[in-house]
Amino acid sequence: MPDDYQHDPHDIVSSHNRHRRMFLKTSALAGALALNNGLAASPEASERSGNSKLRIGALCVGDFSFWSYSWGDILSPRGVAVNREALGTGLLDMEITHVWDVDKAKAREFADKVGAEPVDRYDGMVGKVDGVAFGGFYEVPWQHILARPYIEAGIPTYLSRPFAYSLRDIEDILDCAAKHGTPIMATDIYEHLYGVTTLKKRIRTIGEIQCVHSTCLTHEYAALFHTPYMLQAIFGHDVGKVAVVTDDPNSSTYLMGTYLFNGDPEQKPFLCTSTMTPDGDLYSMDVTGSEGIESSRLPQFAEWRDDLLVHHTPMLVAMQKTFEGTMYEPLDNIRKKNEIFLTGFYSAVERSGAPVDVGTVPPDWRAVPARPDWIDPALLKRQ
Amino acid sequence: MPTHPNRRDFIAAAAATGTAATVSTAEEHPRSNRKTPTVELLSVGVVAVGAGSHMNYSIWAPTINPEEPDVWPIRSTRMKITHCWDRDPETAREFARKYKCEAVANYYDMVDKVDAMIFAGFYECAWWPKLTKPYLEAGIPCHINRPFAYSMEDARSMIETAKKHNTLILCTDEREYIKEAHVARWKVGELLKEGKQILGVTSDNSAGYEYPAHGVHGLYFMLAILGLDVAEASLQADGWWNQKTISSPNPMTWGTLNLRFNGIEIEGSGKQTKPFVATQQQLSGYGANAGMRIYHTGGWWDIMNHWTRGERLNRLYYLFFPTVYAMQRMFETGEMQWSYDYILKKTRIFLTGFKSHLEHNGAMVRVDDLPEDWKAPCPHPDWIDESIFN
Repeated sequence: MPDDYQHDPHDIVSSHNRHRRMFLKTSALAGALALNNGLAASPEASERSGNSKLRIGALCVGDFSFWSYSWGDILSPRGVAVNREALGTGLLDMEITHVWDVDKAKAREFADKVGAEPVDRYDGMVGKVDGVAFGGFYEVPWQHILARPYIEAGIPTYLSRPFAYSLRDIEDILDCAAKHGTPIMATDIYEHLYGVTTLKKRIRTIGEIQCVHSTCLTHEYAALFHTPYMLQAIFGHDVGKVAVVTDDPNSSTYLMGTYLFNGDPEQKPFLCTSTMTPDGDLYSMDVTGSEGIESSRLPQFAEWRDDLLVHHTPMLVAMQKTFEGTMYEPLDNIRKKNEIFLTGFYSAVERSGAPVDVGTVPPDWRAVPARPDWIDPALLKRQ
Repeated sequence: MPTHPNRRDFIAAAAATGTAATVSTAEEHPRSNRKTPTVELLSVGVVAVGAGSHMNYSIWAPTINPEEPDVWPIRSTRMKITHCWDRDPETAREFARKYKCEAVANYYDMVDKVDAMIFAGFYECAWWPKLTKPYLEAGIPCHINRPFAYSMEDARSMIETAKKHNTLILCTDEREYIKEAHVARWKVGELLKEGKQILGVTSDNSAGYEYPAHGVHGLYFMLAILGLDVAEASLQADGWWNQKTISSPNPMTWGTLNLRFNGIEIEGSGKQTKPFVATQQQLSGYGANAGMRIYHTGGWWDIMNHWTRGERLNRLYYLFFPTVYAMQRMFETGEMQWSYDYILKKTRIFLTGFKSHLEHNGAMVRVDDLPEDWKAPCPHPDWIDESIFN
């Protein structure tokens, strides 16, 4: 971003949505404090003009994107399939109004299907939408740049996993969100599965946790290795060490992650393993306790409709709440999740799979992007 | 070695006796009239019968010398412990009194007295090359307890001596012989036959939070099932022993053993060339001895050896007795079930994990890169007074 960039949010506030924009701006200071505590910014956040749905900007809709994979089919207003089959009904209070992708043709194609307007530039939706969601994976190494105009404008933002490729980048985003009081959400789809809350409840009866084994249907670490996030959603973020054994984090022949949860006075430290199983269940998880075992698994879906409703919709519900002004979780959680991801990546590529202490990865160390040339830096200049 | 009756004659005689028993009643043949078996028992010597030994704690000893009827009520093997030695003479004498054998003064005193040897201890493992040498040189079959050696030099010295003198050796443990290991190995073969591929393996091992004595059980369990084609190994843990000792500054409270297999091949079943990782949590008190889940291209398959409940006999029979049976099998048949190379390879994998933990912070280390002279620590480096070797 150019150093001389000065952003005046009032220039972009249309009369149509001024009320909402003004709320977000005026609540920035309070929000900066409240966001870190996971508090809702305000009940007013759900207030918007007219009877229209939330206007959502879809960023990164092309290759390897949730937008073109599932979100489009869920939010498609006219029942037009974006990928396989739309639900055929307006399920949520969100409407895709604007679209951007690094590939303009893909943006146009997606926009046509959902009846939205493509924009030429990545920051071209500022002032036009109530929330933006980054759906792609390949763009994540540049996400801290792509998201900044929106976060600075107070537009609630969903960040695609794994959120950032360096600690410096994620801290930039989080600092920006705190400064501007912008609700942001950065979650993995598996954090929202019903298995999380179900297991959290059931493991209360199995005594002290001895170990956890999990699997994930994936063939790489960065985008599809969902279970580490799921583990944190169940057991918390107090992870002391991470080890990831793989031949290539971005295209693995084998992949195994180990996460040491520190425990507490009533729970000794315990290890969770995550193994890549690019076949079979979406995930499986077995928690062995001193007095029993609890298991959870999610088989692959037979019907796309079930996949959309059970697998993909819960995250969109949380996303909508974020766009309405309610933070999903404290900013510290986002930082911790990203740090744990980066610690695993660091273990894999810098330490031959050795356990690495969370908190020791250098802030400027960068994980290896799956597509390092995905974005032309010229596209990132702000106007 | 004493001459034994022909094994076929023994089996035939036993079968005839058994047939007769099925058509007779106990009243017709009171105990005093029973035919005295003519089979000569194998005379077995034991080294190390105190702390850390399976000869202690009423595990192996009562199943061989049935002198504890409440633990193991019947004679079940063709072996008889006739002599014993321990670094502590009183411990040896106590063992001798309990199991009705003779304690010898020196570790090498049993050479001319026994048909086979059981080196049963764990803490003595670092001195196995010296303690076994007289027996290996004498051609006396030896069971040498796990983890066999703390360096490849030591392992090779024993193997070379054994080879030179055509001495049979066995280095095993109970989890290499539990039913679950055999069933799982069969299952892997079935998967290969069906053209399925192993994608990953997770496992648990009741390790008592240490690596060389009980963690190695889990290693042997995995190798018995998945084979030896291990390219890399790592032990990720905060310690390698469960107590603080001279050589163990940080007791283990958590750990995983990770093996990266090049693939797997079972003759007659099939071959997989795609690498996979097996990871095993080293636990304590989780209700089972060892378990494994194999993820494959058709789903997964589970197996677990739970703690045996009920009569103590059950625990000995299902967990420990197969190992004793394996010893006798080798002593009696004169055939090694695991080759010298197998023993060397699994020792190398064990040591590679150790080196990963001690020198590479748990990073994966190539098994082939383990230096021959690299030596792992033992928990009590002063366990044996080396003046006994003078």
